Amino acid sequence: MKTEKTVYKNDKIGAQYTILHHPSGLDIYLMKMEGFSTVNAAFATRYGSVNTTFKTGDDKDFVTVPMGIAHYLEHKLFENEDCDVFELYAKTGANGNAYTSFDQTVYTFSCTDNYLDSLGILLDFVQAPYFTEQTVEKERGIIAQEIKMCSDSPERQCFYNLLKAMYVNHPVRIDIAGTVESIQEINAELLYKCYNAFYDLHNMILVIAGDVDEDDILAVCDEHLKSSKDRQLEVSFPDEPYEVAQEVISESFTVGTPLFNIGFKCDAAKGQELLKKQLCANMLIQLISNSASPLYKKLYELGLINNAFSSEVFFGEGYFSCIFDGESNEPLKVRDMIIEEIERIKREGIDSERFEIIKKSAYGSLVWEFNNTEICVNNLLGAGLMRVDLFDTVDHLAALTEQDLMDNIDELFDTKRVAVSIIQN
Amino acid sequence: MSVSFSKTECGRGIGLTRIYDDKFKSVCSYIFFVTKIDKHNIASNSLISKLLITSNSKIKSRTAFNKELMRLYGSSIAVASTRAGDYQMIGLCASCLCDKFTIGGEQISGKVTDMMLDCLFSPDIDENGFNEKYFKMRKQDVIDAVKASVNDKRGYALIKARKEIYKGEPSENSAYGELDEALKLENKALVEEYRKLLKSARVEIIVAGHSDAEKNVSKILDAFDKIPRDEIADIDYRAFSPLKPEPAAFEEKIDVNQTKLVMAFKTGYDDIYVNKLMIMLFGGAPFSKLFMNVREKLSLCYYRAAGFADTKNVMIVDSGMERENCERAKEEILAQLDAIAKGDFTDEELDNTKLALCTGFKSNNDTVSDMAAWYLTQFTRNELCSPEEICERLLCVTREQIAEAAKAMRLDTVYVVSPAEETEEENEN
Repeated sequence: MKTEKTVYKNDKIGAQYTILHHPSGLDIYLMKMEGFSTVNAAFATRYGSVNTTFKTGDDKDFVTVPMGIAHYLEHKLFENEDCDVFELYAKTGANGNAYTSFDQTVYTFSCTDNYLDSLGILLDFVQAPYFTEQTVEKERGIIAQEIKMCSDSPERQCFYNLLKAMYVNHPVRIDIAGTVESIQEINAELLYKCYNAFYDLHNMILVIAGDVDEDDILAVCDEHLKSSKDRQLEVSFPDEPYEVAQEVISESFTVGTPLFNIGFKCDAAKGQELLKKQLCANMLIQLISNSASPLYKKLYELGLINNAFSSEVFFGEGYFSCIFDGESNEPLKVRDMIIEEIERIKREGIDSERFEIIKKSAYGSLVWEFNNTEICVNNLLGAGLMRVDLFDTVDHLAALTEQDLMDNIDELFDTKRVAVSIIQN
Repeated sequence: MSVSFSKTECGRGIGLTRIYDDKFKSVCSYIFFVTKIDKHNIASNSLISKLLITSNSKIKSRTAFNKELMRLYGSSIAVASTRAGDYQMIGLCASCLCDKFTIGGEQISGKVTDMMLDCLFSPDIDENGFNEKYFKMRKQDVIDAVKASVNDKRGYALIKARKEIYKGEPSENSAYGELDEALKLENKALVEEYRKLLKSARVEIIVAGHSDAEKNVSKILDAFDKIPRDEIADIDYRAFSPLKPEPAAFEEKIDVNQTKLVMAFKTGYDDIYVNKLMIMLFGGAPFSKLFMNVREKLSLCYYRAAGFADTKNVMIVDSGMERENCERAKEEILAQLDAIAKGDFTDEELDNTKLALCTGFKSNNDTVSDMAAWYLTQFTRNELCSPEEICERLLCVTREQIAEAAKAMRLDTVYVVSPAEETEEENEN
């Protein structure tokens, strides 16, 4: 089989990228960015902390593994049979790293020289797991320290508590790294089981951005990628009720001003539907609460929020929500005023002038992101794992109407599906 | 395409730096005012800069101000703030898309620059001071930011450690400032401080990004031409922190899960890049002595980082671990530094460290903000070198220089932040 190639281009933004469908089963995303010194690369699998129940074509039934195993696996892949991966990167000058999120595990490097050698290292170590009970044991202490470090962050705790309050059954309510207790159950056999299920090239993508040469990259991929059969992976999630698990969750922590996260639980989506939903949610969240909105002005002038106020759309496999966060002495009042503003927009419709301004601003942000190789890799990664074209966002944004937002606001901001997380002294 | 850099002294204490590269789709202008840090001006400068980006005499409403920036394709006028040793650089930064990337080729870059200049030279001030409503709101922001410094426990440990490391020096003041100073801020006095900044502070203007940015240069210089400037203080960014006669140790118990250990070392060895290279080899890289031994071999810490404050000639190592492992981690950190001083590292380790440091330096060419930060740092070192020029210099550093730099490091301060509950349990036992 030969590598097939598809080119995607957007003239207005002045950017293009290529997808190489490699015979090994891997899709390779390349964005050539002339004049940039840095090359960024990411090798990612659709496997994150929420994927705790799964089966492959070889399994009879679904299996459930301990929480935090995707993150543990990420740590362990950095250790080869004979050396540490950082020692290999040290020879090329690349800065290697990795992270695990709720729905993906990503291995990255950035470098200014020797990018092909670094790419070879990346492809090799991610495809060559080596775990023994001894090496797995050695990592347990380091990961426990990572969990403890994270537990010292009230902002992080506030966010995780919100997920617990919003979701009844979905594993997104569990910390990505698991708990000090859950990681005690992880062993080499379980790590291999998860690796073999999720680190299948059909379930992975490779993304590279920088001043790179496509033929050279392809040659490295041909040499280093091991063909893999499609393991027919299936993942399973428990049924998630419509309602939130609890309306208010509170924890005490030493903080300057109480922290809050306010989340609106929405239905999950996939592919193009997810892309459009995400765009609508982002536009609506801006209309409701950006720094030029009437609500922001009111909250700020009443002293109910400060400079730390922000918002985000949070989504992944089986979950989607719109979240407002900040600092306030009266978080529940902030929630009530956000709900009032949403109800007002539902009644009165959208301010057309602000809609057009926000569209323009969103377009500006999209173009801006092509200034940076790392952001380009992250955006391509997001689009690739979602199985959509990166430039679809530009087209959807151009076509978006006020009516589209009004058609979606009831589901995206259902005031009966709201949870609040508070951290206070 | 490549980076073009030039620095001009325009007189009256104003420096102009141009950093252009047409690979970028945006342009950016920074205007920094440089002041020596003191307990008071951290809070006052912070509030002045926040007020300047809230409104101006032409757009008096914050909502309208933000709306206008969004209309200009999400352009931004933000506070720009950084520190170099005992000095603070604070001011404004305006950034926007290049005109050619707007829909229909709208001309936005000049408008954004005009807005920034209005903020800076024509703020929303009357006989009572800054707009009173915004003064109160922004003052509260400053107060909240000081209070919030306790939220990040690792950062908190570093703030408290720096108070002891730099005791009696301007650098002892945290970037957030002190609560009592923030509470004392008064509107009319703040206007006087704002006018003093314009008149007497050293100014660094940096125009960067796509070369379209050049058309904003004359606007900015013309605006400065119209204001009086005198009594501008000379600046020497490099003021080495004196070594304490004996290392000082502190421990603070707070509501925290993991113990944070901060160790500061001071040195008389005065070569920035040899020191940086040694520190990278010691604890800056993922293959460093600290990573390989304290984390990988002994599994003591998840994070451990070593950094260099070159204007103060101070190395700070910070890490997190179980309280019972704190002494062991400290011993191992000292042992690894001693190993480097004795030359216990391979040529390959040194070569790899040079490569890693050069990668970091050269990557500064790839974002507008990193390019600006690189040259701003160069000024504080009294140099104007490109990343490539510094890399050339790094390649010539010898093993002997590295060992000498490690040997010259002296432990000055140890600051530990540990869980309050542990003490009670220990006492019970």
